[in-house]
Amino acid sequence: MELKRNLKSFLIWGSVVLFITVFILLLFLSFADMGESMQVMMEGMPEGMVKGFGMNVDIYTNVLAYYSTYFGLHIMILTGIFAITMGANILSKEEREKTSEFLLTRPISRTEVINSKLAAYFTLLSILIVLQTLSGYLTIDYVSEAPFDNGIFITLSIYGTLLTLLHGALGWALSLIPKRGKAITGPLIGVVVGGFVCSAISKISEDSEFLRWISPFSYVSFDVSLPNYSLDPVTVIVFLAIIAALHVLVYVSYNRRDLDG
Amino acid sequence: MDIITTEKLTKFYGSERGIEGVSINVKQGDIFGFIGPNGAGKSTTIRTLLNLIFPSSGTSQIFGKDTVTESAEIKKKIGYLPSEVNYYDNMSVEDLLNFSATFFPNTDNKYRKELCERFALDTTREVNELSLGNRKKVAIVQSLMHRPELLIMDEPTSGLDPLMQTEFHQVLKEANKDGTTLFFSSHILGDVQKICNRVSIIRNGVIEANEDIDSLLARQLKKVSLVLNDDAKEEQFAKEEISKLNLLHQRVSFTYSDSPNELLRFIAQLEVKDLTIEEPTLEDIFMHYYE
Repeated sequence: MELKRNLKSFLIWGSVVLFITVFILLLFLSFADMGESMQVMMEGMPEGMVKGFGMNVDIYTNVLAYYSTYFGLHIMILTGIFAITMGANILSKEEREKTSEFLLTRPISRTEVINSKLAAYFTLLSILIVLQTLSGYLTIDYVSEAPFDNGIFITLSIYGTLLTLLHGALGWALSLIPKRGKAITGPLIGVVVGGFVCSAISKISEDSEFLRWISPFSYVSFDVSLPNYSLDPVTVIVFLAIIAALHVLVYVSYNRRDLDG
Repeated sequence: MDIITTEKLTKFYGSERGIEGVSINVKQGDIFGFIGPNGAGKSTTIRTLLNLIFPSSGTSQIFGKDTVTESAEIKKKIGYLPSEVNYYDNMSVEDLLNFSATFFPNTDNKYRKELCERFALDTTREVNELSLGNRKKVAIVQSLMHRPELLIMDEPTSGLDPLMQTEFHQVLKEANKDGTTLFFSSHILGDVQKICNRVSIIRNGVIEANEDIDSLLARQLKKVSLVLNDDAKEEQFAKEEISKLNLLHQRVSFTYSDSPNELLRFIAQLEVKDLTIEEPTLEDIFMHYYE
């Protein structure tokens, strides 16, 4: 039921994400042919721009560096927006369209309502993440001539998944701020893109260092050129804890709130 | 047996009062009318009973179970007919009824079909294409098809045409005979008088009276308008039973609070050119008895 209701938006977002993953990676083939000259061009770019967009100097010669640049920007923004809007809407849509009155007068508890909504949300989101990761892996495998480091790819994917789940959890939590009858898609996209922009600006200029703190993008690194790029367990635990806490907050708050009407 | 009991149920929205100190008691087999003007707190009470909103203080039980902590359990045995019916997009009437039936394992499919036929519902149509009245009919079928022990209705007849209202009252009477306790809110006194045996009157969030319908009817109140042959004199109408007297040449209007027989005897002494006797509005009753 819930899956069916969200299928359309899932298919659209899913195909966009997959298309971008594969298409961008295939583009690498032509960049790689131009290898040397592209690198010279990259070195000529302003340092701020390179840093801000998370670009890597050897982006056009190393396929993982190339992938991480696009993964950390395009894919993260897309899956982030998908997760945050789905998280925010799956529960509040019922209230906005006033169908929650119907749902909550059936013999089910509010906890059961969230359980079933969360199940649908996690199912769709997992499918999206798994498909994106698989297609990324297979395409990298196809375009890369030399063997590449699986560990780095896995680290990238785990960070990406955490960031996406965090955005989703933010969406869930934001949807419980009572705001009757208003669609909040605009502000939600703002949260994701704004988060990215804050993180990008903070990397460029020392003065705006404080922006770093408010952006979830700052807490995961997609810069695979760092000498010992690997998964930081503390980051993972903190992300998981925040995600879990936000979901608990949703349960607690939904079980106590008055329904609009 | 008590079906619904509320004890000083109170709900404030911030500092704004919804209801205050509402205590009512609905017994098994009752057809209970909850009447009051718009904004009096009828819906607030119903939404609190259904745990759509949480009480600020006070308690309420349905079937002896707490409406906050045991709400899901209670809802297995109740039907709810909302005043404003909102359903999911892209669902036919059939889909919607099926969806609702998944929550109630005891759905009586034969009864469901019978109800659809009696209300002339086209179950193949999309719910959101239906008119207000037709959507209300879907809600009626949906609220009754699992033969609930208690049916809670918020302004049930709004949106129904007179023919369907009659059918609906018939369905309600039958359901009541089969053991369903009925609780409904209304601002129309006529609705209540037609089928209820007990009423509570609520105004400005506070219960003004809990009464049997018989005692309410016993305080018969009629609005009378007369046109006399000659100019009316005030002393002709100086009677204890007459209030809100209005005189203008031959025209007279007043409210009369005694038996119809007495009223007819009184009018018979006058030379009357024209006569209208009306039901009082709820507001008239309030003005007369509760102020």
